[in-house]
Amino acid sequence: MRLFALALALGTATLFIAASVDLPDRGDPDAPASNYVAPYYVEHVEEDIGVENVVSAVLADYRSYDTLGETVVIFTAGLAVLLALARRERHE
Amino acid sequence: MSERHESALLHFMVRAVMTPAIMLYGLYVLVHGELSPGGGFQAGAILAAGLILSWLTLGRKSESSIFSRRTLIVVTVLGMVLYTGTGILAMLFGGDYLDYGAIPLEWLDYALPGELTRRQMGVFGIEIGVALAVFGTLSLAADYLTAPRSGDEEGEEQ
Repeated sequence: MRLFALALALGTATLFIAASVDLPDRGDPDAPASNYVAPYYVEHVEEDIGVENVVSAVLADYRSYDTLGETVVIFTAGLAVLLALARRERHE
Repeated sequence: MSERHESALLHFMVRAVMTPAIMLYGLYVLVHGELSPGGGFQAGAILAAGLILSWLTLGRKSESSIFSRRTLIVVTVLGMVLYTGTGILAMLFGGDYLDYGAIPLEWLDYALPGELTRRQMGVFGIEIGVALAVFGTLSLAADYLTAPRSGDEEGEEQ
């Protein structure tokens, strides 16, 4: 069983390493990740939003729905934890 | 964590130096988030760290008058309401949801051309909302985890 687990881990690692050879270099300007909407954000942030921090601009304006979702996730997770802890407190 | 640590120097350092400094830095990260790395999530975490530090060293009771459990719940919900409310406010004035430029605060438009100042204020508004929600959630979790066990009369049931 342990040998099987070892083989599984090694096989997965081999797959990941083999796949990572095909990935573009870090910071490659021709990579698909930096060719889709990222150039638009960097070039137009000054006239669209006027916020100097591009990360903040993407987070809070271009992708504000996404940030809303993140905040709701934190809020809901906190709520669930509180409900669980309050329940434990009451039972003691 | 209910009993207080009996070191005057520790009390002084936490009460007068570290907690104010951490809280102030959290506010700086929040307010400066549009110009430098930072923003709502980080600011909320730093603010909560300051509060939790004071709870851990000074004991829970010394601070409970300001940040009671109920206050923290109100702060968390207020943060969410601020975020969604900013979006709905833009919708009420004919824009899309979270389209801050639609909020008619024309008197803000003196520093930057067009609606840019209003956009910045909208971004700032939701960053405050995020900071409040994160601060409240983290503090509430720490509050429940460090609360004295039942039998101690701090219960504060609602």
